[in-house]
Amino acid sequence: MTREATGGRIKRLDEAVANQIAAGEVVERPASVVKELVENALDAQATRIRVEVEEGGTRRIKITDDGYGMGREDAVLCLERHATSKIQRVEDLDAVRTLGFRGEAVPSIASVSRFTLTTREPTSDVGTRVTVEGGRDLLVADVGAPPGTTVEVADLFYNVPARKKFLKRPGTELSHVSEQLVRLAMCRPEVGFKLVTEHKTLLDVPPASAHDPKGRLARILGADVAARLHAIPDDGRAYAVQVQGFVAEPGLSERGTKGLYTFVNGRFVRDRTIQHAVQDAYRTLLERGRYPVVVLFIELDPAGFDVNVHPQKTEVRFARTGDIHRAVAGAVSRGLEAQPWLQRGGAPEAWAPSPAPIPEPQSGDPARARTSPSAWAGRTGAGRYVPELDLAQLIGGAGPGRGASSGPTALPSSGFGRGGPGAAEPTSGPWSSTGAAPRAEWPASGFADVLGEAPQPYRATPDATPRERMRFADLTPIGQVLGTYLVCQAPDRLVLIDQHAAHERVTFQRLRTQRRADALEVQPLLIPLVLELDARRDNLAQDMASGLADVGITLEPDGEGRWLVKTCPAALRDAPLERMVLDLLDELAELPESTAMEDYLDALFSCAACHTAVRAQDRLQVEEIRALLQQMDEIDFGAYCPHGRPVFVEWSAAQLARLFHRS
Amino acid sequence: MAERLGRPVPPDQRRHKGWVGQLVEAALGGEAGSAAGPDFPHLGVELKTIPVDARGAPRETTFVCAAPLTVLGQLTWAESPVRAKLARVLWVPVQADPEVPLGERRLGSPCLWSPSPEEDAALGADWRELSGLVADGYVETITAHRGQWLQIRPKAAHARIRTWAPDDEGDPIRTLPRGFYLRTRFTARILAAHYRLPSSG
Repeated sequence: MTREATGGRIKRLDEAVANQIAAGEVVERPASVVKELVENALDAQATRIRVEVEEGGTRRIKITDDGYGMGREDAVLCLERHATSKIQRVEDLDAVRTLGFRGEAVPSIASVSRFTLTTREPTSDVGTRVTVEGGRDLLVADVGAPPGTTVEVADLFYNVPARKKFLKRPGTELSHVSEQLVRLAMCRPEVGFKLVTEHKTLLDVPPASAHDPKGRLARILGADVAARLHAIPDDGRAYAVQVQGFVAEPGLSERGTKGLYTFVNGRFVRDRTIQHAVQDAYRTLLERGRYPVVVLFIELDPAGFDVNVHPQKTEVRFARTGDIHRAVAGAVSRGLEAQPWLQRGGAPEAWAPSPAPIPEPQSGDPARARTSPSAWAGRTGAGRYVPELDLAQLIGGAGPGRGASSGPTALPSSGFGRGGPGAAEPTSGPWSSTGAAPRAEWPASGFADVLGEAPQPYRATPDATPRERMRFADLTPIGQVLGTYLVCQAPDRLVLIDQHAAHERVTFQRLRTQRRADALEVQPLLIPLVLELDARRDNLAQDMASGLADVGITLEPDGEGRWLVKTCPAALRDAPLERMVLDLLDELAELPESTAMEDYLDALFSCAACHTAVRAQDRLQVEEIRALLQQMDEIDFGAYCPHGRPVFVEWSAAQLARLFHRS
Repeated sequence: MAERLGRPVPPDQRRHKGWVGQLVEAALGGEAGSAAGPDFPHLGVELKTIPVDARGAPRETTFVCAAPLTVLGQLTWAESPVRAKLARVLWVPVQADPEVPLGERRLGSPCLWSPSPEEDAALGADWRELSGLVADGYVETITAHRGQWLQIRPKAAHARIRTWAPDDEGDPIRTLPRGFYLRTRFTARILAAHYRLPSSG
C-alpha cells in the first residue's frame, strides 16, 4: 500500500505526541524521571546531586546538580528528540561510556509534565530557564542561576490520565525513587547524593568516600547490611571481564532479586546471565526462593555489550554471555569460598583450644551406642559422650560468660578484607579513584547479631594483627542440648552447632568436591539391594537410572520386574540406602526438565547427604564431635547446610553478659 | 544362572559343597578346577566365592589350595601354591543367609583383588610358620588356631582318606589330607575395604 493509494491518510505525528509516545517507554514512573535526570547530571560531571520529591515524585521532582551546565542554545535543543551531546555517529554506540546517549529522556519527560530547566555554565554570567508544559508552549528566558543544572518536573502525567492512574501510592513511588538513587550512589562514589522529601532526608551520601567502600555502603544500605557484605578478594589475575565488589554472607538474603546490585561499566543493569551466575555461586548456601545481596561492578570492553536494547537501559545484551557468566560466578565464588564471615579479629592464640576438661558422662547416662559414621576418624572403643545439657542450666549456670573475657576485646583488625587471608579490597572499579585507604571504623561482621542486637562497632588500630579464620576444631565441646545441638565453647564465645546440618554440609561438600574433580568414590554393594518399586517409581527409575549413575548410584533392572541397586558413593556408606534411593527418585521427579547439570547434581547430593547425616537425638561421642568439627574446617561453606540454613549460631561473651544485665 | 547353565539346584549344600563356586566358575568358563595354578591361567586369576551372611560377614573360611605335606619344607613362600593362588583373585560374594533358599540367593558384585605388600608379608609369615611345622613333623599338632590369616585344616571328603606327611624323624606317616584356608577375619577385611556392607546402612 502506498501513500498515494491511501489518499494521504498517513500523517507525520506532531512532535509533542511523538514525545508522549516515547515517554511511554522511557518514563514509567517518578523513579524513571529521577534515573534519567540524575544520569544526565552524572554525565555532566556533577559532584553533588540533590533530589527533592513531593508525594513520591508524583507532585514534584526537583534535581539540582553542580555539573557543567548548558548554554542557552543547548538548553533549548535538549528538549528536541534525539538531540544529544553524547554520541554523534552510529559507531559511537560501540564505545558508549556515558549513562545516557539516546537524546530521548528530556523531551519525553517534558512531554508528560510541567517541566522547568534552569542551567548555567560556570564560565557564563547568565543562566537560562526553559519551561515547557506537556511538551508545548516552550518559553526561554535568561535568569540568574548557580552553576550547574536544576530540573523541576511537576505534575507528572497530568496530561496523560491513562498513565497517571497506573501510579502507585506516594510511599511506593518514593521507595522506587530511593532505590534508583541507591543504585546510582553505589556506582559513583565520587559523587554526593542527597534525597529529600517533604518530611526528611532519606539519603545523604557525601562525595569523595571512594577510599572507604564499606563506609559508603553503610551510608547507602545501612550499617547492619554493610557489615555483612564482604569484598571479593583480588586473585591478582587479569581478566577480559573484571568483576569486583562485595558479596553478602549467606545469612543475609532477600525474597526477591532486590538485593542484587549489579553494574556493568558503571551502569546498573538487570541481566539474567548475571543473576544466574550469582545464584550459581550461592547455590546450596541459600534456602530455596531466597536471593543473596551482592554489589558487583563488572567492567568490560564497551564493544562487548549493547546497552541500546531498551530505552531505560537497565537491560543489556552481551556479545559473549558465557564469559560474563564465568567471570561473575567465579568472582562471587571466590568471595564466598574465603568465608570472610567466619573470620575473627584477634591474635591466633585467641582461638587456641581451651584447656577446659570435658566432663565424663553422668552416671546412669542412657547414651545409646550408634553406628559411627565410618568416615569419622578417631573414635575410640571406650567412647565418651558429652553430657546432655539442660538449656536453662546452660544459660544460667557456669556458661562461658563467667570465665571468658568480657566482650570482644580481642578484636583488633586491619578492617575487613585488609591483611586477612585472601580478602583484598577491590583495586579498580568505582572505588579506586583514590589511593590507599585509611583504617576505618565499621561494624564487626559475623553472627554477632543473632540475638537481634546490632553488631557493636569497634575501632581498628594501625598495628592490628591480621584476622584469623574461625576454626571449628578449636572449639571445646561442652555438651548436647535437645539431642540436636552441640554446645561448644571458644575462649570468647558460646557456639551452638546443629549436628545434623553440620554433618550434612560436610558430606554434601565432600560429594560435590569429588564429583567436580571427576573422582567420585563409588563402592559396589556386597550384595545388590533389591527394590520393588511401585508403578510411579518404576517409571521414574526407567527414566532416571542414568541420572542416578551420575551421582554414583547404579540402578539396574533385574529382569524380573525388580530393581537392583549395585553401587553407592563411598561417602554415603552410612545412609539407609533403600529410603535414600526412593527419595532420590522422588527428588528427580520434582526437578524441572531444564535443570542445569550442577543444580541437578547438587539437588541429588543434598538429598543424599541429608540421609547420611547424623540425626537429631543421635548421641555423639566426644571423638565424633571433634572429628565433625575438624571436618567442618576442611570444607568450604561449613557454616551453612546445603539447604542454606545456618549450621551454627553464637553468642559473644559480651552478648551473654548483656543478657544477664552484667555490666 | 543355574537354569541358564542347565544345572539342577540342589536342595542344600550339605552333599553339594562347592556347588555355588563351581556354578560361577562354569559360568565364567574356568578351567583349572582345584589344580595348583589359578582358575583362569591365561588371566592369572583365581576365582573365589565368599558366602556372606545378612550383615555382609563371611560365613566360612575360604579354601585356598591343598597342602602338599611331603614337600612343604622345600618350598619358599615365593614358590608356594598359596601365593600362586592368591596373587590375583576375583572375589565373588554370594548371599548365604540360611533363610534364603539356595536357588534364590544372589551373587554380589565381583572384586578383583591382589594382596597388598603388607598382606603378602603377613600371609608369607603364616606360610613359613605352618610349613615349618609340617616339615619338622608336627603336622598332627597343628590346630586351626595357628596362623594370623592363613590356617591349615584337614581337607578330605571323609575321615578315612589318608595321605603322607613327615614325622619328627623325617619318616613318612599316614595322616588326613590338609588344606590351606583363609580366616574369615582376613576375607572380612577385604570385603570391608571394597564394598559397602549391608550392615552399614
